[in-house]
Formats: sequence, C-alpha cells, structure tokens
Amino acid sequence: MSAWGWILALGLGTFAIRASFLLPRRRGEPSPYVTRVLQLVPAAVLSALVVPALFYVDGVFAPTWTNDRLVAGVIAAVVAWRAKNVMVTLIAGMTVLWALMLFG
Amino acid sequence: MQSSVVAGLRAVAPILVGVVPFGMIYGVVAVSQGLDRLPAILMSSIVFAGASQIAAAELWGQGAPWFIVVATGLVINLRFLMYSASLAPHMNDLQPWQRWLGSYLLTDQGYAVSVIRFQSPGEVHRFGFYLGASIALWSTWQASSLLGVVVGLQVPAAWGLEFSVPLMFLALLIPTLRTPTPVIVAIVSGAAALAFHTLPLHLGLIAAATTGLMVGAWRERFA
Repeated sequence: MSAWGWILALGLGTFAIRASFLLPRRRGEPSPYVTRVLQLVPAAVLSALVVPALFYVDGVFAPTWTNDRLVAGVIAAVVAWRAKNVMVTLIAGMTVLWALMLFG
Repeated sequence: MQSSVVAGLRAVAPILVGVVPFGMIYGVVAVSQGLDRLPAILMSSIVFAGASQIAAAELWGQGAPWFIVVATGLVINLRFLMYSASLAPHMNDLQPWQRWLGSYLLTDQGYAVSVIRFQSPGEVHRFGFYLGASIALWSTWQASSLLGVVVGLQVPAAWGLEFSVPLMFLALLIPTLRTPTPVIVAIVSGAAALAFHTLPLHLGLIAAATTGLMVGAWRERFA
C-alpha cells in the first residue's frame, strides 16, 4: 500500500493543529492565568516524552540500575543541568550508554 | 528585523547539533520500516514533526491501518495546540502570510527558544527571531533526515543511536525546571506517562501531559 495517503493526512492534520490559534484573526487573548498555565506545557510534554523512554526497555518496565538507558539518562540530566547545552548532553548520554553496553 | 533573525538563528544553533542525529534516526527508521526513499524524504517537509514521523513510520512498518498511523501521529502532535495558543499573543500584529508560515514552522525547539527570548528583557523583532530559529531548524531537519534516508540500512542497530531522541528532549526539559511549579508538573507528568504507557494509540503522552498540566493549573490557582 502506498504511504502517500497517510503522509498527506498527517501533514494536513498537523498543520491544522499548529495553525489553530495562530491563524484565526478574531481569537480571544488568553488570560494571564491561562498564559501562566500554558508556560508549564513544555515541562509537562517533554517529561511525558522522556520518562517512559528511560524506564521502559523493549516495552518492559525496568526501574533498576541494570537498565543502561535509565543510568545514562540520569547522568545526562545532571550534565544538562550543569552544562545547559544540548550537544554536551547528547554526547554525555551516548558515551555513558555505550560504556555500559560495552563494559556493564 | 535582520538582527533578530540572526539572534534567533544563534539562539537555536546549539540545539541544531542535537537535531542532526534526530533527523538521521528518522531517515534510518523510515527506510528500515520499508518506506520508499521519496515519501520518506518528503514526509520531513509535509509533516515536519520528528517524533510523529518516527512513530508513524514504525506503525506503518508494523502493518497498522492508515487511520491508526495518522491518529497516532496527530495525538503526538497535539502538543502543538498548546504551543500555538502560547505563541499567539506574541504574534498579534502579523500579516496572513506570516501566520501561515509561522504555523507551518511551529516546532518544540523553535517554540522553546522563542518563548524563553520573549520572556527575557530587551527589545527583539519577535517574528524575525522566531523565523530565524525556525528556518534553521527546518533546513537542518531536511538535510539530516535526507542524510539518514541515504545512509539507510547501513547504521547498525547495536549502536543504540535512537537513544539520542529522549536525550534531546531531556536537554530541552531540564532548563524549564527553574521554579518549583514546573518541577512538580514534570514529576507528575513523567510518573503519569509511566502509568499510561500501555494506553492505546500513544494516548499515554497526551493523558500524562494533561495530568501534569492539571496539577500545574491547580498550583497556579491555589498555591
């Protein structure tokens, strides 16, 4: 089956989501309270993306120190806190993961 | 405006280096799931949303029906709704073409660096800054996903390169945790994401983020 159909549908739908508040001329401005809550969105969404990726290994919940990705993720989080730099965080996390995979 | 475009480009530059492996991983995943090269390459400009592109390509490779593939991608991209509402007050005076272009270019990273800049002191041409950051991200995404498609099946899975995806989200998450409320929101959202991980259609992400936001909304109101 051709992939073009679902690619176009996903593209149009994604554009509609992105445009929902940016395109309409007559939309109400969010209240200061709503704005403060919206500022919490990145913390909520990014955490929901990251945490399962660290704790689940091949679909199995693995909250242990033998979970290489969890250990690498925790160290990368400390590095991210100190360095405030995406590339340094990436290198640190991948280096720890590879070291654990090779020698762990 | 030109200096603001450059400022946006500079603000996003450190993040671009992290986008490259993300884009390459998408390209590798797409062709290894059996997508032809042309749709795999053009999906990056038609959809232009990495996490949803990776999830959609994987589901399609696993033989999921097209509406499940689309629904899953849209659920992952529902977060743009919140970004769109958050950015709209900053883009009140824009021309229609700027709104269309700005909508198409909306990303996690472009949103993140722009909102951080708009909340900081000092004058900046907001659309210029957003455009500079977003076009840099768009170009990097196209080039790196193209590279991933070309490299294709030659990257050994044993390298675990796909781990750079959560690492990149982690590097974006940590700087948002400067005050107690976002820390609590992130903890609740992360714990909820573990609990909701087995929900169908990747609904776990939205369910978890909504739970975290509800706790944050409660704290903003009463704490």
